[in-house]
Amino acid sequence: MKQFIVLTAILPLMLIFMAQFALEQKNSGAMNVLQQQVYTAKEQAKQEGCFTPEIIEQLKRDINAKLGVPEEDILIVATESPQYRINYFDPEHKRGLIHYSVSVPIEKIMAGGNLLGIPSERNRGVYTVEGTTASEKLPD
Amino acid sequence: MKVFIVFIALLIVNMTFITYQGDLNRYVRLQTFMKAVAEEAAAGAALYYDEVAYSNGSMVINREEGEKYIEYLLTRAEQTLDLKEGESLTAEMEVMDDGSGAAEQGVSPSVTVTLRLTVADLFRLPFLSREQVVRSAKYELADY
Repeated sequence: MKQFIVLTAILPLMLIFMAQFALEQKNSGAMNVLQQQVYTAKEQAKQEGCFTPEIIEQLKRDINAKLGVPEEDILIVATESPQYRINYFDPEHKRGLIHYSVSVPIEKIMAGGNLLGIPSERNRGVYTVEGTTASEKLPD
Repeated sequence: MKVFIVFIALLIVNMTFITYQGDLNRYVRLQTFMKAVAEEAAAGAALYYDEVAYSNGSMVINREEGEKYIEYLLTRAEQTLDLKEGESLTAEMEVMDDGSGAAEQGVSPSVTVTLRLTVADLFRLPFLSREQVVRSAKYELADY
């Protein structure tokens, strides 16, 4: 009987570890996919001079298709006015540079959050990929 | 007592593995980020060229402007990485252009950027240590 009681106490704890291994791998995979998608979109934006509505829509669709995140939950803040290639570095960072920041929510960080007393609103986070690139678009 | 010892052993193994998994995933993401910054630095620096030399048929990269751009990217990357005191991110730019003999050697002008990140140990486990990440990228002007 004693062994059984110990087992019932230990088993949930061990199962949480197993679930956490899988969840960590899933979240990490999602972050890697997001990095790849954003860097791909950035390369397109370099050619177009900015994040055009088409690039943003395509990026949202790709993230939605690969990660299952609803498009309305994906936050994209990026340069949307065309920037042209210039032959000097603008110290005010206003010309020739494209800035971008893409955030997606991570629904669950800890496995067994309810069991450990972590409310679901605290057991979530946001992963952001951001950066700057130089436009390669030449004036028409 | 036997059950307790087995439980503690399992707990330590699990804790070790979960710590290793988290740190390793973070390390992989950091490498991807560094690679992206290095590629961006090399591609951006290669955009700036000497117009007078170009009008004479030579491609000469404007190192000064390139270095300014790389410096700006490093500042942004340091903010993203949230570096602590004693940690650093440095870049080394290597330019091969017509001014440095690319045409004579029959190679395309290129810019190579090597980033070197020095941080406190990336792995929390005592038997693993990684304090430096180095990534390099080369941007070649194959057809100009």
